[in-house]
Amino acid sequence: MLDSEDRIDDPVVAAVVAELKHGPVPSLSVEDRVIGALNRDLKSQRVRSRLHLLARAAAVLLLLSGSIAAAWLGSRRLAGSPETTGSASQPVRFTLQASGLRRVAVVGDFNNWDPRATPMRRHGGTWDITLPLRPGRYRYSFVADDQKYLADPVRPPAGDDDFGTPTSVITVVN
Amino acid sequence: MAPSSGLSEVSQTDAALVQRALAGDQAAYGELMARHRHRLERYAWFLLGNREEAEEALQDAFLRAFRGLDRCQEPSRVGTWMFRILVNRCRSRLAKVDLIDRDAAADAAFAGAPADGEWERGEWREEIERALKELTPDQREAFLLKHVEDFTYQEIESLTGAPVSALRMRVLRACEGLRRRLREGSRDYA
Repeated sequence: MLDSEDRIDDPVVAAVVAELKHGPVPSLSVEDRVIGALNRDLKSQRVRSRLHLLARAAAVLLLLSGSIAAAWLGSRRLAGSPETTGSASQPVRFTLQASGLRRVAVVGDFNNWDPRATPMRRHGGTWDITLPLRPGRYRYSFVADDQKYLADPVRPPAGDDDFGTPTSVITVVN
Repeated sequence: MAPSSGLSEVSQTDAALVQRALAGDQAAYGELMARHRHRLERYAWFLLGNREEAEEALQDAFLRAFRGLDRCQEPSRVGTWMFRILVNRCRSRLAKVDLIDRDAAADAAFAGAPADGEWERGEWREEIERALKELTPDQREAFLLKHVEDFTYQEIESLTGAPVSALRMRVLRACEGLRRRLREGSRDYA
C-alpha cells in the first residue's frame, strides 16, 4: 500500500516518472573496464604476494644465520603497511568499551581494512591496542566477533564513507 | 524425466554471488554488476546528465564496491549497498565538475548520447531532460531516488545523510519545478 507521500497526483509529474522509469537509457560501457581494472588488481596482488613470500623466505634465512639485526630488517619488510617504526610515527591508542564479545579488531586505512590484521586485546570490559601511525587522517572501525562494524563512540564519525560502514576518523599530528 | 536441478545455479542469490566474489571469482562479480546495472546506470545518467560523467561514476562505484565487498554487511542487499556507493560517487563528480552551474551545463547536460541506433529520444524525453537539468542537484537526487528508484524516505536518508524533512522538501520542490517547466510546453498529458 502506498503512503500519501508516495502518491503522485499531478499528471505531468506522473508522466515524467513513467518516462524516466520505463523509457530507454543509454547503456554505459563500464563492465569491461571494471573487469580490466580488477584483473590488474589481481596481478598486482599476485606480485605483492610473491614479494611477500620472498621477504618471508629471506627473513627465515637471516634468522637461521643468527643475524638478529638482519632478521629484524626482514621482519620489517614482512609487516608491510602500515609502517610500524620510524621517527615520524606516533603511538595511537584505540579502545572500545564492550562486554560479551569474543573478538574485536580495529580496521582502517592503516591496515587495508583487513579484519585479521589487528586484533585488539581484552582487559575486562575494555578492548584496546596501540598502533604506531604516521601523521595523517585515518578512517577506521571496530569489527566485533568478525561480523559487526562499530564506530568509535569517542571519536568523530567520518562523513565520507562510501560503504555504509559505521566509521570514525582520527587525525595524527606530529 | 527428472526435474532440472540447475535452477539454483542459474539464479544464485546476491548473497551467494557476493561470497563467490569475495573468494576472487570475477565472473560472480560480473553477474552482480549485470544484475544491478540497469538501475545504477539509469540513476547516474539522469542525475549527471552526461555520458562521460555517468560512466566514470558508475565505473568508480563498481570498482570501489568490489574492493570494499568485505565491508558489505548485508550481502543479500548488495544492490542497495552498491547504490549507496554510486550516490556518493555521483556527488563527488558533481562537486568536481561544475555541473551545478546550470548555465554552463545547459549545452553539456545529457550530451554524449548516441545520435541514433542505440536509443532514441523523442521530443517529450528531451523536454524532461531539460527540465531535470534545471533542478538543483539536491532536488534531482531526491526526486530520482524517491520516485524513479522507489526508495523510502528513510532509505534515502541512509543513502544521502540528509534528514527526511529536507528530503521531503527537495522532492516537493522538484515536482513543482518539473510541473512548472513542462506545463510551459503545454503538452497534452491526458
